[in-house]
Amino acid sequence: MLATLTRIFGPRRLDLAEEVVEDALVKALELWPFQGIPENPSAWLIQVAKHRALDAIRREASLAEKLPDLTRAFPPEDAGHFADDELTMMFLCCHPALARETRIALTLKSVAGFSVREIARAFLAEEAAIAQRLVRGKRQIRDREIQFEMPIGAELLARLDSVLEVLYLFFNEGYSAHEGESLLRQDLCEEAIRLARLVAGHPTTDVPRTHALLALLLLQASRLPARVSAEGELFLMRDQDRSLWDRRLIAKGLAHLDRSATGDELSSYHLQAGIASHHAIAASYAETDWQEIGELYEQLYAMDPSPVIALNRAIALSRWKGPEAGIAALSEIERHPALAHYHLLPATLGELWSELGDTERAAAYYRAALERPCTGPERRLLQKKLGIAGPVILA
Amino acid sequence: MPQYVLLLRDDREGVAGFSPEEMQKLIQRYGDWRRSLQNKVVGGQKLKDGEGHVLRKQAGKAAVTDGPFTEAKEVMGGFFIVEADNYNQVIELAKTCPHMDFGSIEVRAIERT
Repeated sequence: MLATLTRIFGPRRLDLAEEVVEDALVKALELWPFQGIPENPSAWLIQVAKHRALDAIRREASLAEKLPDLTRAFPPEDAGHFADDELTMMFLCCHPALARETRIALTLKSVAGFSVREIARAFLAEEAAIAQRLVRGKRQIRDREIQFEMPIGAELLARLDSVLEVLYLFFNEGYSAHEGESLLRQDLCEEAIRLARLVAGHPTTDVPRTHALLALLLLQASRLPARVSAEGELFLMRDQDRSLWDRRLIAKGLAHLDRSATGDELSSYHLQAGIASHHAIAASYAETDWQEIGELYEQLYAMDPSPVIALNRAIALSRWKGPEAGIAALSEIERHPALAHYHLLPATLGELWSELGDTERAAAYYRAALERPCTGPERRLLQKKLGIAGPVILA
Repeated sequence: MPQYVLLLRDDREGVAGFSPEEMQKLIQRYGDWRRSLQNKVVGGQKLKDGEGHVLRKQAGKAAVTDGPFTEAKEVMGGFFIVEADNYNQVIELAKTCPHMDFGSIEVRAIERT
């Protein structure tokens, strides 16, 4: 919806578009609860937003001469353009003139409707920094007169990477919410998959790495039903009831993984989807092909030595070669500043030391994990483990 | 079937500070609630915010006070009319209404002649 309005008003007026979208949503929230949701909610919202925007523009004398154009630019059949507009909007936000972080923040805000707080959480960053990043991004779009149009040729592929990365982060935010009672936000995962399908379905962006990403998201999403119990408790993969995994999503994911194998491209999404596929087809946690997964993680780490990948690589190594190998791998990243607030690092170390029978060290790590932000269910899981790891005085 | 009116009041802070994503989710919740009622809702209207009048007889003459009724902490934002067998049923319906996060709901049976 924001995308459609941006097409109409031009990217220079992204702020105005954002404002009127919010206005329209507030209006909808006032009326719909009482009158019921209209048959075509998007068309209703667009209509209200357009009127608001038009009012705002009318008030601006400098734009007065543009009015006839704007009125003409409002065709009644807007709804048909939604998909294309959303895709173009993603590419606008992912323009190479913007810093990488800005692109991602802008897309999450303008395409997905994330709040600044939610974006900060997804990035493990401060809210003020994100807000500033967004303001800077919008100013750059305006100053550089970036156009609302799909890139072509080589530029398209370069900008596609940024779009895919955004969808990847977007999905992850839904897959593991970082705080609060809700452990995952299925709606975000579904939205990320919807947008990834949009990208994969468009002739210009239908390339192997798009399918690799879509495969990854589908395979990860297949495990969602088993990830949280009816009581809201977290199940780690080893404890999950695999009969709850969504076979339909797994089949679709594997199909896209096949399609991603056309050509000689090997992206990080190919490797991650490969890892996810080994989990998806394993009969049990113990019967998983950990060597294959460990090797894929080695390749992934070589391609992208980020601390979060290092953490997952260490877990895979611990299953393949034993807990000591995992601890050794983790010691390399234990003091990494990006992981300073990441509870999974100490939680994993606690787990590995517990396997080695060192309950004292395990408990110390579980306690360290509890001091970092995590969701209610994650907290309870850690507390449960602390109970097993040894006696503890609860503050 | 007996009809009841649900009078919804709130402090009008409402959704201030909600992100578009959060607003969409709230709209979804209201939609789900309506669907869960399976046509028990006969009608409902939103009352316009920030305006209105109160008439009261003073010294034999009708005195008209302009709204909004700022002195009241909670202001009536709208109403629903629902069909139900009894009060208990209506109360159960009202309990699950997302409005409960924002204000109060007064439930009254409509008197039939």
